[in-house]
Order: sequence, then structure tokens, then C-alpha cells
Amino acid sequence: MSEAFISIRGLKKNFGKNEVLKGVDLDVKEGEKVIIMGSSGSGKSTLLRCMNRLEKADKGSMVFDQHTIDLGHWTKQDIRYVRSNSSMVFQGYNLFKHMTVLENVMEGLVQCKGIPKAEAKDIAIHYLEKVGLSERLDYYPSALSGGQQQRGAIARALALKPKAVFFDEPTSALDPELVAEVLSVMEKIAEEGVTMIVVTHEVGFARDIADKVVFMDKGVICEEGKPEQILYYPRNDRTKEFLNLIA
Amino acid sequence: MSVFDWQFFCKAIPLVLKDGLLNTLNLTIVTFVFACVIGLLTALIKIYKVPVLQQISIVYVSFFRGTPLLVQILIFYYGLPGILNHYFENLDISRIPPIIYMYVVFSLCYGAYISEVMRSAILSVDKGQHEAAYSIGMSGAKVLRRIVFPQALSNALPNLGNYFVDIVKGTSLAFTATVVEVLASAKIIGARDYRFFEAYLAAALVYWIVCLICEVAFKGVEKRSRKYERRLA
Repeated sequence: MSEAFISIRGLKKNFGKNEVLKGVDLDVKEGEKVIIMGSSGSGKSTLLRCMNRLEKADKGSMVFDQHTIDLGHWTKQDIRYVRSNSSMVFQGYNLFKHMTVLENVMEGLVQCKGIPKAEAKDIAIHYLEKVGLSERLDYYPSALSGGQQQRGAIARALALKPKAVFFDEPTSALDPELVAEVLSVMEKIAEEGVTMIVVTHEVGFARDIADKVVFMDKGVICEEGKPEQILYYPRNDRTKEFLNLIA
Repeated sequence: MSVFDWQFFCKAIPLVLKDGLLNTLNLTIVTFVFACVIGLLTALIKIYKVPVLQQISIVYVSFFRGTPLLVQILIFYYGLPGILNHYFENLDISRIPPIIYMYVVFSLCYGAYISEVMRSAILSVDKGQHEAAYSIGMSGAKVLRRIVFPQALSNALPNLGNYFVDIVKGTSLAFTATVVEVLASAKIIGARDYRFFEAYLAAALVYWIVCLICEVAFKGVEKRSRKYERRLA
């Protein structure tokens, strides 16, 4: 067993009096595809957002790529380390509205990685080709469909060559017919070996690409394991209930 | 003496332009630039709840929005020289042109109004835009400069355009502090021949035309800044 690339222990998070995460432990190996499932309000997205400090946890620790972080007290270096080695794909795409798709992908390369513009443009075009947007380079997000925007956002996340990519319900805001195009792009990148942590309800996707499925309920992980085990032979009652509902 | 002397009116327009327009434009542009800077800083202080400075900016905005500009002008014009004289004995205050005081009071007054424009424009930028920028590793300052400000600016432009036009007209109050701008020059020209109606009407026409040009210019800038909202690139 290789050592965990990301290792979270005792993660707790409250929103006011509402206890959203009640002590979560999670291990993710390098290159592993982890799918987090669970009903809404179970804390999946919050867990993800606590990992790159979009949300500040109250308690807990995380080892990220051999870098130990106190999740209740991030230092500036911690934040910089995690964010420059990870990226995120959001439910609402969040492409920068005032930039074309190409500029969106170049932005992080130029501003955060310090790559010269010409080189950044080549990298950006490469990744946009990969997600099937090479014909839409100079379009603004408002002129694209949801699926196209999300594929652009995936290109933006991948172009930075992150060690881990967090997907926060990447297909939940999409029309059913657009879900497939985004999932197929995600399947393609999954084959390339980047560590992926995906919050999603797409059972088929979980079955096909996951190395591990984590099921969350009411702020705790109630079951985790191989996809076939969790999806077909769940032991936990809540998992059974949930899978029956969405199947 | 006829009710309206067209000849005098036509003569008055170029005179008003020659004597007053420069100071009006000068005061407008300086005020607008400084008011935007002050407004932006005040807005950021309020948004980020900077201790002490936040309380100061609340009082500042409240005072300058809650008192008439004319009163502020009189306070600064009659008060500031005395204060300067008291603290800087070597300073010859009679050599400071009155328009300098006007730069200060106009910038402060409109800065207070514009701070609210800036604040709402910054807050109207979607939170997801901040988060996406942070998630790719941008520093807070870069997020503001590269992502938030460009979007906030295009949100703010219609209101900024309004305030620009408002400043153009507001500068007419500077004549009370002996600054010879459009209104003051009309007053002087009118007094020469006792033809105030024609002279003031000439001033009104000048203001109107200047404001029309500004409106068109702002519309153009706004349209350009919103190009990303159109359906097609």
C-alpha cells in the first residue's frame, strides 16, 4: 500500500449551530479516483471546500502531498501550497465572465504559474482541444452552453497540472442531455492518472471510474469501499435507502 | 430694451466657453478621478471591515452625504485657509488658488456618493468568480485586480456616468468660492451689460451640451465594457 496522498483526520465544521461535518476521516492515494456520494445536506461539498480552504473548518488535520495542515488554522503558506497544487471544478462552472474561454484557461497559467503568454496560449489550446472546445476559443462564457462552459472549466482546472482536482457536483446544474458530454471528458482525464475527488450523484460514472466510493450522511462518512461493494452490496441502511431512491 | 437680445446671447456663448469652460472641465475631471479613488478605497474598507478605518469611513460618508455641497464649499473655502495658516506659519495661503480648495471638497463630497456605487458594484460580482480565482491559486490582491474589478467596473459604469454628469453641473457651485467657471463667467458677462437672462441661458446651453457629450461618451464606454455579456463573441 502506498502512503496516502491526502489524509484527513477529525474534520469538523459548523455553520452557526448547524453541525455540518462531525469528524470526517478520509484517505486518498496518489492517482486515486474517489467519488463522494450522499444526499443533499450531508456535507459532501463542504468537505471538498474545506480541503482547499474555500471554507474554513473548525477542527481537524490534513496531510496534502506530505505537507501537514491544521485545518482550523491555515497559514498563508498552507493555502498557497494546496491551491497551487490542486484545482476545482464547480457546480456553477464559474468561468471568468469577462474573459474568453482561451483567456480563462490562460489566466491561471500566466498569473499564478508565471508562464509566458505565448507558451500559456499553446498549453491552453492543447487542453481546450482535449475537452472538445477548439472551435470555441474566442467565445465568452455567456455565448456557450452549460456543457461547453463546464468543459472549459475542466480545461482551466487541468491546464495548471494540479496534483489533485476537486469536482464539486460538476453535472448537477446541467440539462440531462449535456451531462454525458461532461462525464465523457471526465472519464478521459481519469485515465491520465491525476488524483480526482468527485462529489456527484452519477452512479454510472462512479461505477466506471471510481477506485473508491465514499458515502456520506449527516456529516459523517457512513460507508466507503470499492464501487461494486458500495453500489451493489451496501451494508449501511442509509446507503441502501439513498441508492434505492436514485436508482 | 427687448425681452431677449439674440445678438447678445450669441456673443455670450463663446465668451462663456472661453472664460469658464476650462475651469469647469478641469474641476469635473479632477473631482471625478479623485472621487473614484476615494470611493473605491472607502468601499473596500467597508467591505473588508477594516477596524478603525471602517468607523471613520462611515462617519465620512454620512457627513458628506448628509450636508449640502454648498455648505461644504463654504466651510472649506472659509475654514481651511485659517487652519493651514495656523499650522503652517511659513505658508503664504493667499498664493493658493481657490480651485485647489474646490478640488478637495468636491472630491470628498462625490467620493462619499461614489463609494456606495463602488461597494454595490463590487458586491454584485458573483461569489463563484472569487472562488474560482482562489481555487486556481490567485492571491487576494490579484483576485481583486484581475477578476473582481473588471466585472465590477462594468456594473458601476451606468452609475458613474450619472455622477459624472452630476459633477459637471455641481461645479457651478464653485462660483461661490470665486472660481471662474461657466456659471461665474456668465454672471460676469451678464453684469457688464445687465443682460443676465441671456448670459445665464448661454451658460445653461453650455452645460447641456457638455452633459450630452459626456452621456454619449459613457454609453460608448459602457457598451464596450459589456461586450462579454452579448450572446456572441
